[in-house]
Amino acid sequence: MLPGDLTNKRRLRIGVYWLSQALKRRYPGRGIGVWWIVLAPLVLVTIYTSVLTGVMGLRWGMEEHAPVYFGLMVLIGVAYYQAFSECLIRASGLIHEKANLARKVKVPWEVLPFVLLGEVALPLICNLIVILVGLGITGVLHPVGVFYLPVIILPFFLLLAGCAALNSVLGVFFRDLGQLMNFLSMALLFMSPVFFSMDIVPESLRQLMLVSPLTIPVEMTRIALTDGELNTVWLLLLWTLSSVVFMAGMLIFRLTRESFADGF
Amino acid sequence: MASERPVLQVQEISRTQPVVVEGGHAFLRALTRRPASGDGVVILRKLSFSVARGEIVGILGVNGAGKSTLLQCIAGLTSVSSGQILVDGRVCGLLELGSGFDYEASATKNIWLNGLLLGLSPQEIVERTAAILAFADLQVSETQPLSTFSTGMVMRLAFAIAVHAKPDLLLIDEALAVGDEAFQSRCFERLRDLAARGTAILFVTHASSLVQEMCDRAILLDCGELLAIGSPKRIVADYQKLLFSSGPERETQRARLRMQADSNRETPGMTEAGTTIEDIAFSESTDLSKTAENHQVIRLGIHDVQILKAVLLDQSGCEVNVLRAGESYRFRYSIRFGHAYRAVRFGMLFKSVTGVELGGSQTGSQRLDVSPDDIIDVTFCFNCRLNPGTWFLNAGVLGSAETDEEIWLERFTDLLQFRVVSGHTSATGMVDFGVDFSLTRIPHARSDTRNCHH
Repeated sequence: MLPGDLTNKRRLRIGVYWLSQALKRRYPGRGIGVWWIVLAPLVLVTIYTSVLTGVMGLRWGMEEHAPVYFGLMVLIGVAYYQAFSECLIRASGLIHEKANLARKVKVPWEVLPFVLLGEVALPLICNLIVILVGLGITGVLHPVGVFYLPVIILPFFLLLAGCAALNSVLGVFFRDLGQLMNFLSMALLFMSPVFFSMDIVPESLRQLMLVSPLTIPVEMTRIALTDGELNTVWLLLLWTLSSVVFMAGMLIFRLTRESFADGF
Repeated sequence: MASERPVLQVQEISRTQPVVVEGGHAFLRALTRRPASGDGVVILRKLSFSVARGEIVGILGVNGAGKSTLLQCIAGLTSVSSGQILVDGRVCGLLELGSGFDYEASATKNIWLNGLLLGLSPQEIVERTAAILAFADLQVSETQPLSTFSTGMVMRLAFAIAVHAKPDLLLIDEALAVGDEAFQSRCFERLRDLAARGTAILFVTHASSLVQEMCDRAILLDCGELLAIGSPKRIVADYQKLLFSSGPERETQRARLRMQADSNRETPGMTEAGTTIEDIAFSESTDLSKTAENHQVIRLGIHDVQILKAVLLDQSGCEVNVLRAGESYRFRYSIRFGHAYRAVRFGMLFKSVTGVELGGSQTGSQRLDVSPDDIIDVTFCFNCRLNPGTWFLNAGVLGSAETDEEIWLERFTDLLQFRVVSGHTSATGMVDFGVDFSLTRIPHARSDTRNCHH
């Protein structure tokens, strides 16, 4: 065994420990704590519904829907956006967070992007469950869509892991990456169909929207859940793109991880 | 044991610390896995050595010698630019005191994480947690986070985890300095115990006495170079000489050590400075060949000062190397000077086998000016107050050469070795202070205590 070489099982256990610690920090035991993970999307739906439809008078797409439909559609966008944006911002400082540990023991760096993935994936999944329930109650859920959901989320997780790996490497060598990511994620919010449907985007801007990696999964989820349809071209595109990002991220991470400790 | 594969083999390793660790260039260098070249600071230069199972090796060196980097390379925390490090078994490091902990979590949680990181199985961790907590002796509740611990407590926990991981190679970087004395002594005991069970221990320290006490071998690092490796006593002497020299004198020292190291490499198996105590036959006779004079003397100075003869004489003038406690003896040596020196004085010092400086004297009250080829005969008379055992005598010459500054012209470490026999049976420790005693029985409390005059 090489010094500090860790078997896969150990890596998994370490990952589980780090993830549980991170989640404990995020949802502290007492008080609202764990309930917040379900409470937050409910509060958000209420706010989106009341402010965006009640105050600003916005409508979802071309057809007439109940106001809560708007809130749920926005929440789909927000759920994906939150996961992606947090992944981008947090990843840039991911390696440096463990600088102290790295001076003492050999850190299994490759676990870290997946811990981050777990951290952002959990609220995303909870949000989607709340959305499913909400759509079910209001009677607009297309049952087939529930089965389509995994094939959309899985590549999105690959994308997240790839971006986390890539960004954490870049964060080691470009320390001000965090700032840039803050800005980028803000831009992304309005470059993706988060607060509106792709239907109302004018033809000239659609191409631009497709630059955002969120556009395809967000729109696909909406269409799958309400219409029970799955665009195979988009699906193929999503899987290909995500796999490429994932592989690239892992490769670059593997190549550079030996030099992470140089900067500490 | 000797036929076994060494736990650690360090082969010609070098490390260049890149100055630029950020930006596009650093990224490209990392991506192409090229070692830093040109723009880096050389921290380790072609180091080679190996450590056997159960061996305790001390690493000495002035600040910036590369000691910590060496340990980090061995632990696999830092990459080497060239060369190879082969470790046979589990490595565990006590580097950078306690910084591997999660300060928001409890001691038990930290034992779990550290255990996993060190490569223990969950079962092993669970089994050893109680023992670790008992050894660390923290006296805190289970759930208390580490942020409420004192530095010493964190260190105790770190040490407890490290020793209970039962590593094949344990690396310690100055980490023991924090604990209180009781804990330190427990640590040392534990380390010896670990070594006895086959764990090799490498430790960095500035405490020379600790190296002599604990280590089987020592390594002297300077400017990333392995200057010397050998018996702790010799390396400590080399280290101290290096520590207190500067400028050209330092360079000469380095060159001398490097040459020694090279000659040692050519004759493997003969690397140790010397003969062990048991090798020297003791006799009360006047047989000169049996005295320890042919024992390797470590000469520290570089000035042209030669020792011609060094002897211990009893009252009848016979040369001896077995002394009787309580009797008077003379320590006599002759020095030939190659140059003229001013205000010369001579010294002597008794030392224990472990290097403890017990006491000595010097001729400062009568300084001499010497001219080339002068021979000075120095005699010290002393009463042997040492308890039975084996002891060493050092000699040294101080004086001024070109400047007024007084310098060591020559030091002879372990010049003579002698044994003391038939001491006072009641005396303990190293030195007989001539302690006397009296015993009085105090009458029982029931009787009048005022009667208690004797």
